[in-house]
Amino acid sequence: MGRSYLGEFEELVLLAVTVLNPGAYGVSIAEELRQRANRTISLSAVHIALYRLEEKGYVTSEMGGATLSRGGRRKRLFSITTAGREMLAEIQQVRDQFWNAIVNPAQS
Amino acid sequence: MKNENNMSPPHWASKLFKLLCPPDLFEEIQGDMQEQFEFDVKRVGVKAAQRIYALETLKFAKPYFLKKRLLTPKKAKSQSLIPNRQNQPIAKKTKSQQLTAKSSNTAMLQNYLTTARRNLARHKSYTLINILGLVLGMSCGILIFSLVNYHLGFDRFHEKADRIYRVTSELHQEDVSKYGTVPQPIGAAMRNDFAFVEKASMLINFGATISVTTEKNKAKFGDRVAYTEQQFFEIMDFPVVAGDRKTMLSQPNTAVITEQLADKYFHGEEAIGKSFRVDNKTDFTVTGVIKDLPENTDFRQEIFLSYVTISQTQPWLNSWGGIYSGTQAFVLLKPGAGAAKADITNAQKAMAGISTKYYNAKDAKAFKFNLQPLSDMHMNQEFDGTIAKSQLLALSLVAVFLIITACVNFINLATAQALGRSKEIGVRKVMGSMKSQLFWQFITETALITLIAFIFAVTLAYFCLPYMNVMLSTRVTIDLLTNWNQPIFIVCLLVVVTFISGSYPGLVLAGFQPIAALKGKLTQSQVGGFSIRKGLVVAQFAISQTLLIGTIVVASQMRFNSEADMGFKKDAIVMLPVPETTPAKTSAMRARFSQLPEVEKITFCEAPPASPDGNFDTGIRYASRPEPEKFTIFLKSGDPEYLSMFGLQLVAGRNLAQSDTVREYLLNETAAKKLGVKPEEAIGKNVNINNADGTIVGVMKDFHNFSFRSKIEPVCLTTRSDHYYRAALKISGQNVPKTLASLEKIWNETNAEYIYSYQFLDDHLTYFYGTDELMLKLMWIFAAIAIFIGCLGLYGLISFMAAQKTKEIGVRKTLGAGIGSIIWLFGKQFASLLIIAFIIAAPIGWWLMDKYLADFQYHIDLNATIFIAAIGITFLIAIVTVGYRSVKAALMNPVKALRSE
Repeated sequence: MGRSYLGEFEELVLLAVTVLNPGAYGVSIAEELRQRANRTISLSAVHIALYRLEEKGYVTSEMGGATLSRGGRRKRLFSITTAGREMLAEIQQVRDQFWNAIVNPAQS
Repeated sequence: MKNENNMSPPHWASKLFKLLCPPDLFEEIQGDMQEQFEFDVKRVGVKAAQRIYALETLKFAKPYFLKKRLLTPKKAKSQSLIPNRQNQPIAKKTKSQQLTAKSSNTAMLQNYLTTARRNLARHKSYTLINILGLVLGMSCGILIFSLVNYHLGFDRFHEKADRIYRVTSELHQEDVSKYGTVPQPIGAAMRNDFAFVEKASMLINFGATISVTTEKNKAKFGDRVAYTEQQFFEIMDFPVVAGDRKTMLSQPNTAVITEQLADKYFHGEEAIGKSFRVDNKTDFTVTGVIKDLPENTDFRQEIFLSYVTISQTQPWLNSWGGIYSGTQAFVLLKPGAGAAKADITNAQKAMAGISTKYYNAKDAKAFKFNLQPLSDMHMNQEFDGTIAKSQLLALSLVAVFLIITACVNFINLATAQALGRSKEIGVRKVMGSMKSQLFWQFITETALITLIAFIFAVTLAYFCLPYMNVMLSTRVTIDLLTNWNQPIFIVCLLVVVTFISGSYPGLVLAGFQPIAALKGKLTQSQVGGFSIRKGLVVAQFAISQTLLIGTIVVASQMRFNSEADMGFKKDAIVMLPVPETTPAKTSAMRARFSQLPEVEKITFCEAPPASPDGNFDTGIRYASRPEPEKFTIFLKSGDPEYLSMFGLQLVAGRNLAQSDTVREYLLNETAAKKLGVKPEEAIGKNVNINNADGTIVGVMKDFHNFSFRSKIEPVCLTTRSDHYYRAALKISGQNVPKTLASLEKIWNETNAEYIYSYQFLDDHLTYFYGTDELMLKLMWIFAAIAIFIGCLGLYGLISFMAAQKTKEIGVRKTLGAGIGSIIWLFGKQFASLLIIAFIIAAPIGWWLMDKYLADFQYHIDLNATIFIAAIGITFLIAIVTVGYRSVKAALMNPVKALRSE
């Protein structure tokens, strides 16, 4: 019903936002993904994912305070919304069901 | 310092990033990029970090960001991308934001279009004049473009076109004459003697009567046939529908015809294997069918007969001595042989070998052969090309002129209108409209008018196309779907016309001072460019007057051509073909025709005294002089009735005696003069003309044996009944249609196997002036259009002046000025413009027409009447155009004009 689904990368970004809360912004998310998923991550891809998630209503954002390290530019800090949490939970549930079916085929 | 510089991301990348990044996201993303960069510097070093930064920047050139970048208005810099609203589907909000960003662009456009539409609807006459001018200009442009395009595209479709050449010949005698035609054996010579020739083929054209033998009623058709060698279809790319391209003309008595003819002859039945008869003599079997000839080829014959059919039986095909006007030779050079200019020059040098190999020493000097590229064939006037490149250029120039004239008109009217719109411009400016926006508004408006005009122009061009094709005997098509360069031209035309006509008024409008405009204090001098507009009208009228002068001159010369005395009678003479020239046949025809009471006189002859065809010039040796004369003489054949038939007079001696072979000659005065003898002295002398001896029995008074273009040449007349291809009949003037009908009936009875045709002598003579006739028609049309568009411009200018002088007229009228003096106010303006235009046009017209008339040996004189007529006509038309508007202005109530202060 007009529900938006998540791509794999978007899902990862959404998870990273949740983990890093309240300090989730472009660079930190990219770094987190690099470490955990062990793959090359481009900033632009992260940003696109973030903005898409925001358009879909799964994250929300506000401008944070200025810091010295960024040439005085402010960060946009992202945090997950309830809709986002529900989405993640639902994905997890679907996956779990599948895994259960794989581990224990009788129980499906 | 240096260190710090090195520590920062690459400069160009930062700039690029700024360009690519949506402004409202710029701060945060730039921050992230910077932070990442600093982090990377620590991790992998400066160089690598810079590389990563640059790469990352490039990655921002993704559709997602670019779309955002383009859709965001420059000024709107929202602090937050999306207001904080938890648990809300924010997507909607964002979309609507995007929507407003997009629609603010289109909204303005919509407003422009609405304003334009209302404005056009309010000033209907203005719109009409503009559109009419543009329609005429543009449809001429489209037609001329298609025509030029058509002519440029001739025979370009052959796949090997760049390697196909036509062999041409040069005859070096007293002067050099060039022909696109060649002696018949040259095809074989080219094929056998030269390594650079891959394939060669002769092509010999004839007119023929085709009868389909399989039909019971033996249908007859008059079609052109060409004898070609089998390699012809390997050189040229005419698509073969049935039959084998390589072998279809290899056997005697085989033929290739087009689909269209196959249908005409055999009514849709399988044509291969069917046969038809040519000239009631030889049967040919169809071995190949080709697709109908494309429009843009100079090969117009639709029946190709195998060359081997005639090569055995016709000895003249092996003669190097004569050049028949239907014989052409085409060669296909080996790949690479014609690649460089030098190769062609070498090839032509090698071809000098033909002269030495096949001719005796004396003739080898006279005959030279060259190669002409296929693409050159259509354009080269030396070899009777259809149209010269210079003519195409002239046509294109006329088109450009007409379009410019239409644009000028538009500019004139639009600037004249501008004053009326000053309030609108003022309000727009006060509301924050920028100069560029106003300019684009006006361009939009112009584009709308151009588009409307354009639709009409295309329609008009479509409807005029068939007439143009008939007039110019072309096969131009307007096909926007398959031919890609027509649509491209049309779009370019649209854009160019819009910008030429829209930009000047646009700049004027955009330059208004808002306060002055709102207060209604704008004066015409501030609108400016009055002198520019005057200049434009002068230019328009100079062009149309030049065309008019040309038209009058050509028309007078044409009248001179048809009315001036040619030295022989040409009224009420009908000419019929004589297909079989045996004495028995001709005397039978004579007997039958003589029975008709309407036929006053009959003569059998080769050609009338002056004729575009059937002219044959040959050598002459007079009396006992040992050497032939230096000049050549035109040999005409006719029976003794010839003189009285055409009213030719003798200055000495007597008429020819009846004979079927050459016995006696009549010379004309010019011939006698060239021989250096008095007419009386020549009588009784022996003369050898065209290797036939005879006695000179009389000398004719000179008559024009060609058009007025050429001088009177030496002519002789003799009796040669086997050359009497025509019968000329003098008919009484009463009931011509009935006479013609009975002539046809008798002719068909005496020549059952052939196709009847007839021609009046004066019609026959107009062939001399075919191109002039055409030129006259074209000039008429162009002059009319130019004058019409010019008048529209004049009307615009006068309306402009009327608006400008409203107050002045009011004041003058209150002070007691009469209507006449006020009309004169306008009159003197346009009169001076026309006179200036005339002063420009007259010398140009004089010069051009002097060149044109120089082409005629006998022509009219350019006199003042022609020029007076030209300016008189322009004045008359201009008065009609201007009259209404100025009278209206003069009759206006002065109170209305003065009250609005």
